[in-house]
Amino acid sequence: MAAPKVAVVGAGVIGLSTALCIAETCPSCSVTVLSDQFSPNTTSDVAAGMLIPHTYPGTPIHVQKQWFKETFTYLFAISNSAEASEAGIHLVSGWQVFKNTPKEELPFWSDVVLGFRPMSEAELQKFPQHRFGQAFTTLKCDCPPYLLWLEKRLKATGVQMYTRKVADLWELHSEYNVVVNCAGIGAHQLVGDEKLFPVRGQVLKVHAPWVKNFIRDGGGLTYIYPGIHRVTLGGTREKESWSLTPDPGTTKDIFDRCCSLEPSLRGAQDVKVKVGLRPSRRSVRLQREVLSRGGVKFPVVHNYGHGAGGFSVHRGTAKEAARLVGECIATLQGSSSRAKL
Amino acid sequence: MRVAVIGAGVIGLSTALCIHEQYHSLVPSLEMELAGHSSMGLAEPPLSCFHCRLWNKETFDYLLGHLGSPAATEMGLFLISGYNLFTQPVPDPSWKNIVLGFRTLTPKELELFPGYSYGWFNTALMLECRSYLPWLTNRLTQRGVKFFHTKVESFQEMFAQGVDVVINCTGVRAGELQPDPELQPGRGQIIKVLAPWVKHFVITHDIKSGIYNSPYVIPGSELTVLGGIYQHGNWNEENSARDHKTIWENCCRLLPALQKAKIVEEWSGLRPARPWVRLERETLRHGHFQAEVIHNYGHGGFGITIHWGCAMAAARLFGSILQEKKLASSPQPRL
Repeated sequence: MAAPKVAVVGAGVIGLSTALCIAETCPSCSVTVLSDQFSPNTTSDVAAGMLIPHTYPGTPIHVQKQWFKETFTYLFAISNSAEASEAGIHLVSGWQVFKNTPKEELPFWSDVVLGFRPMSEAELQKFPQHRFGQAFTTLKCDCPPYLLWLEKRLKATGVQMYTRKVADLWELHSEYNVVVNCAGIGAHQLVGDEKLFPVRGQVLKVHAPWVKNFIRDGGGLTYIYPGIHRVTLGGTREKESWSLTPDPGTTKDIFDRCCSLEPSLRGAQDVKVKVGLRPSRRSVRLQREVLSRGGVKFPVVHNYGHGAGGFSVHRGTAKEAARLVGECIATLQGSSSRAKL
Repeated sequence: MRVAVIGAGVIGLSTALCIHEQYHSLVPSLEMELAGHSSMGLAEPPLSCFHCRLWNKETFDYLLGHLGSPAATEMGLFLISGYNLFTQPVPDPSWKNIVLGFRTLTPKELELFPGYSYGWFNTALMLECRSYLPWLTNRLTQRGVKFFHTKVESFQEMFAQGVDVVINCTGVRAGELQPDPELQPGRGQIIKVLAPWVKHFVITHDIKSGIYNSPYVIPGSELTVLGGIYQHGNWNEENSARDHKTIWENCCRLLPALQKAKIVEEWSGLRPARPWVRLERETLRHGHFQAEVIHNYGHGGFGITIHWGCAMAAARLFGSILQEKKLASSPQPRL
């Protein structure tokens, strides 16, 4: 096979980072990104992009930790380079506060982030309703900048990107050798995955440039994440809600919850409301599959279902997906050379 | 009782406010005026000064108390975390328990700063003077304190007008009112850039070059300040191209992410440097006038850091003047 043709469906953080990993590991591959949405209209664009992992109940912890570590290391290097501002990657310090002491005092990722430690009594005084807390420094990927930077890197390696709504993966089998399914919540319809469900998140993006530290209520429902230009205030976790329309009552509720954590937010300006549907699943679907119709086989690599943790593990899962694509290509090359015998 | 505060920088304004808040109700005849015509804002303490630790703590605690109030943003007050970097291990600073969350840096954090092998992390307060000074001015104006934009030529001039107590907060030019060879300008230059992706302060220390002469990066609410110049005895307030180059190159080397930052402003200022802060009373006699001066100047590069503690100390000195004049009979209440 001269130049294996790989299609990546989806242009959120998973699709773009997976396409980039494939281009990096398989220079002879011709990679094309197909998506009905590109930045700033993807689910990723709504997310704050904080590197604080979500725990998938169905994936072994050591695997999740490996994904997170790879992602953190990759972004850490960018954050300390001249590209940081263009890529939208920056370090941010802050606190995770709990009203009740959590069962698990040390999350699995505590030694991957920087400077993780319990909060002091003096620090906790700023949060009178909370009794316990953890302080650490982590990374944030601001979107759209990060997605635009990925798109720029992809174009530089010769990857083509097209706006196209793919209704069925099979429709790509005559143009491409391998398809990578990074459709996120779109996989529900695209491949009929009943195990994939939306968890609706509404957020506010406000102008409050004096907020330099993040604050997250340990439950994960209320958070304040300062980005380059805006602070993301969140949020909600509404299982099985498919509505992309902002709800005004929810907006007020989010704002009030965040102001009780950080009173100075009352002075925040220019509130923008956004909604995203987290593509949630018990485990990330990261596996090969072979579609077969009438004797014709079409290899697929799935990389979707990252739910609330997409940014935190994106590079790790992209690398694994690229590795699986490599396996698919090797299998195709093996069978095509057997066919010649 | 007429009180004149000379100097409208952070020291003058805060001292005026502190005294007025404490004594106005006790001394109905108190009339205060302020003369003066102007700093950075990171409340990171200086390394050595006898009373400074107390003044620093008092200032930090006072500001921390305001953090949750609606006034905080108007005052230009917010929390910010960051790094102090060294080329060799150093003992913990005396202020480690004043700031929040003080700890030493982990090896992974030090990877961010090649050339530095040791450091501290802590959360401190930022007080931006471009907001704080107007806020102080508003509070004073609301209290009826009058402002005069005149240059005071001598203490005698004030006394001749009937002022009973002068509070001398004239900073680097205090020598013009009364010679003080200990007071010298500590010239600094800074570059202000647009780099909102930088969320931490980074302050480097080089024992050889001395404090403030080693690069530092301090994010404000809108612009980020790059600095690292300290020239003792240099009165020149013009920006120097050579200093610009030093600051820019050193800060970009320290934080490569700054390379794409847009330069917005450049500024030079004179830190009112003195081996220790002059915070004391002086009784001046002129003919048959006897009047009191409270000196509060010489805060070097850490005026904001200790300003409120100093203001309270100046207020205590004022209280003792009132007691001597039998104008306040009971011990002064503390805020």
